[in-house]
Amino acid sequence: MADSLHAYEHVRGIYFPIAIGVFAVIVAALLILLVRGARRRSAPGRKSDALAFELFYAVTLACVTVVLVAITFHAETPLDRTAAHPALRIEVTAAQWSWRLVYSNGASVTAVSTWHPTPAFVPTGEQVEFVGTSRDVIHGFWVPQLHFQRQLLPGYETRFDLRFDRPGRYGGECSVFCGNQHSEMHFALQAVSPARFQSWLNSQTAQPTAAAAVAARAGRSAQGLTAGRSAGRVGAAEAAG
Amino acid sequence: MRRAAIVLLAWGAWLGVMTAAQAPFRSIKGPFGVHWIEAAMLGGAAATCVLAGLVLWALDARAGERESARVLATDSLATTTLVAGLALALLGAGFGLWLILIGASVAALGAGGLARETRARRRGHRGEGAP
Amino acid sequence: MSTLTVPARAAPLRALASTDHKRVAIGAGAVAFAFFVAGGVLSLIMRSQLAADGGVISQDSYNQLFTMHGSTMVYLFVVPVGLAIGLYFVPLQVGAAEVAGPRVALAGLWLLVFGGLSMWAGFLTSGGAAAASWWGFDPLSDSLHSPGSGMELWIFGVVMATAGQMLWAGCVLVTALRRRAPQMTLLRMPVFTWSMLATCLLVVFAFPALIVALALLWAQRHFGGVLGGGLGAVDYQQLFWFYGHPVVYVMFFPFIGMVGEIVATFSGRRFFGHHAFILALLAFAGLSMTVWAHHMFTMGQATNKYFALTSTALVVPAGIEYLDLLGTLWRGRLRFSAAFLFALGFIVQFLVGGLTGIILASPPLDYGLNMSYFVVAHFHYTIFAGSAFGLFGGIYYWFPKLTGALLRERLGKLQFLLMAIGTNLTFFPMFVLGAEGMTRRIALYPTSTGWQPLNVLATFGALVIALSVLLFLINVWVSLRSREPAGDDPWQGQTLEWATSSPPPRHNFDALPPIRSFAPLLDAREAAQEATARARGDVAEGAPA
Repeated sequence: MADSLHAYEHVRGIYFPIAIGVFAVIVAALLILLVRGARRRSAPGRKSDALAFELFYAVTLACVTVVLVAITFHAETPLDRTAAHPALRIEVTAAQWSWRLVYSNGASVTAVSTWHPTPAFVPTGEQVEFVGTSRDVIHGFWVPQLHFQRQLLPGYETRFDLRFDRPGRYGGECSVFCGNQHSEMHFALQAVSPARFQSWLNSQTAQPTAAAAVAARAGRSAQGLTAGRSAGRVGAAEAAG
Repeated sequence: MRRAAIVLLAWGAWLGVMTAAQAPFRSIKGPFGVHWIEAAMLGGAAATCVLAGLVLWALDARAGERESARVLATDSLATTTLVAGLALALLGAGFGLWLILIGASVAALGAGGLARETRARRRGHRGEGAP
Repeated sequence: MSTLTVPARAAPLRALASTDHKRVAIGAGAVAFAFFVAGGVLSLIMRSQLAADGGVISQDSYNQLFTMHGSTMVYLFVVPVGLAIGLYFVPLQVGAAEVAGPRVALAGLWLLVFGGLSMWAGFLTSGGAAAASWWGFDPLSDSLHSPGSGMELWIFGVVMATAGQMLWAGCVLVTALRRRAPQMTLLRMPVFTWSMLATCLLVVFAFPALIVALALLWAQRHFGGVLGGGLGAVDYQQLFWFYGHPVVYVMFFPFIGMVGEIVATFSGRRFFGHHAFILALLAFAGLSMTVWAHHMFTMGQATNKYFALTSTALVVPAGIEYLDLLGTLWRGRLRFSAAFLFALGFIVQFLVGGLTGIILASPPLDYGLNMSYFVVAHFHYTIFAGSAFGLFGGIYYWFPKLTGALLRERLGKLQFLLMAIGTNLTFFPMFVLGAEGMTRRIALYPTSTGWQPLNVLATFGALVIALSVLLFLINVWVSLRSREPAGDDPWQGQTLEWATSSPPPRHNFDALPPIRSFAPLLDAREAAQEATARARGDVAEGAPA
């Protein structure tokens, strides 16, 4: 259902060529007018209105608008919806300047102020629902390779679905300016086959791997996370419930 | 000059139409419910513009001929003083009562100067008048 | 209508407190241009940071820089300079002796000055200048996440500057509506005046939302409980963007208006589609009041589809305006002056910004591109490659009227060439960077991303732009020191400002020519040509049209 990658590519495949084509036509018309006007020796033309033509042109543009909007609405509707029964739900908590992704079995992956975050695994070919919030200011959960982002607001849960067709590493960035270390607030998603994902998830239940080491390095931000993680067990129970 | 009000009335009406056009999209409720603020802001601007147009229409209906001569003042130090005072008073809200008081005093000076200028202008009208 | 002038006072007093709309406008324009240079210096430091491998400045400093760069360019440069040019020329173009509310206009100038100084004073505080972007959005801008006086000074500064702009808009609007010369009907007002009218409508009816947003922000910082949590952050942005979209049209309309005048003048013919253009301007301005939440598509908190519809619908009036500009070139006899070149630059380059705007108006595309360098490229194409080029066109066009001296044409054409090259080298690569996933407002990135080469190119372009601005300043200096007298009408203009001396007297006009269309001077010239032709028997028959 929600397939942001293909929705983007589909709409882009219509909008970009039209934009480039319109630009080319207008610049070509301009050049022709400039060359003619530079050469003109006789008095300039006097005709300075063509209301009928302008009306026709405006109506044409309105029709183009309707077509573009229809394409946009059609592509957008599934993106704004979330599936009733997603294959997987991941809770995302953004904070200055870290990401924490928590799975329903309590496993979690954390990335603190790093350009090389430990990836959180996701299964390919399935709807993955993300439920995101922020602990402080507005952050942006952006996966450029899927051409999708959502702002995460404090005190509120934003829900959205993502679908990973191809296996591989998907980089994630904080797209909304959030203060001092905004530049370094990254996360990563590793898309693998559902079977491999399940085995990874099972191995995570015992200890949330690199998170502890990374958190220890991060100092101040980690304090907030430690508190969060000890509440995480409670959180996991709430998430499951 | 009456027709000038038409610009405001027409533009305000256009904003009103665009506000009404929000209605079919209301069924798409966001997580915080219907976004009344969107209709309130645009509708508010529309209503204010139409109101301004009506006021202008009424003013134009009542206005007589403009005076045949007007004295153009060349400067108004009182205006500059008033604005400086208001600026200082505003900054005082962040820096302390002392700055608010200084600003208010300067602004009062400016206001007094404005009153003097206005009186002088009126005297100029009555006195020298048209060439 | 005759006027008496009170004897002039001493010069320094006049500089501080003149109520002549022309002096206020020149003061405002000069202050705005000074802020442009200051904001430009900030951008050069930013570009050095982004081109270098390893930091030139700290992340915190960078965040202050881009906040103050954007804030300066919007609140202290492009908006005020457009209004200032309107303040100067609208009374002239409608045949008025002065602007409505001259002391109100003067107040606006000082609000700009104090507002700008207040914002920049942030750099002098221990915590530095504001660093929450030019949007100042909550909760990043609240007292917990942006403590310190830099943010306070920014809030006060923006409020003051914006209030001054609202005063100017009121003055210009009332002048156009109620102070026209007797024969100057609404439909005879030229395209620049109509574009200023549309601008002023936006300022008067949209700018109050910013004052409200900032007042709420200030209250939140001092008392709390005003903008709470997620809902409060959304409300702040609804209010902010209700201002924040119209402001970009306030930064566009004056400049397309002056481009229209320039194109008509240097084409030697009447503006094409004058009435259609007026209708398009008003429709465009109205529509621009209805698109604001396209800045909030990725929040999922606004009625996205309504805003996608209204944002895409902007192509209709924009297309009409472009048709009319091209129509004015049609069958023209062109003179490629510096002003005309800048106007052409506006036409081509603004189009890039406009078309990419339609792309961003589609949520499926915006979800992928928002907050990236694609957006940065888009708005720099509209505001800098578009409006700023239109601004320089207007400056080359109207400088002789302001000062009585011509700007050097050769220097102007060289400035245009450098500026065009620099602009495209700086901003076009940003479309690519955005599509590659480079977020905006980041102070550094590892070279492993592969983003450095394009950033180096952009920085080089920025240096070329800086050189072109330096050339402009040299041109102004040289042209004022060794003057080429311009006379009343150096370009064979069509509108009333050219029917008086350069610069105009305090009361603007000693006498007005007959006004029977939106191009009274062109009418007079054409009538004179026909009379001469008839006298010589060249015309076989009949009265002129």
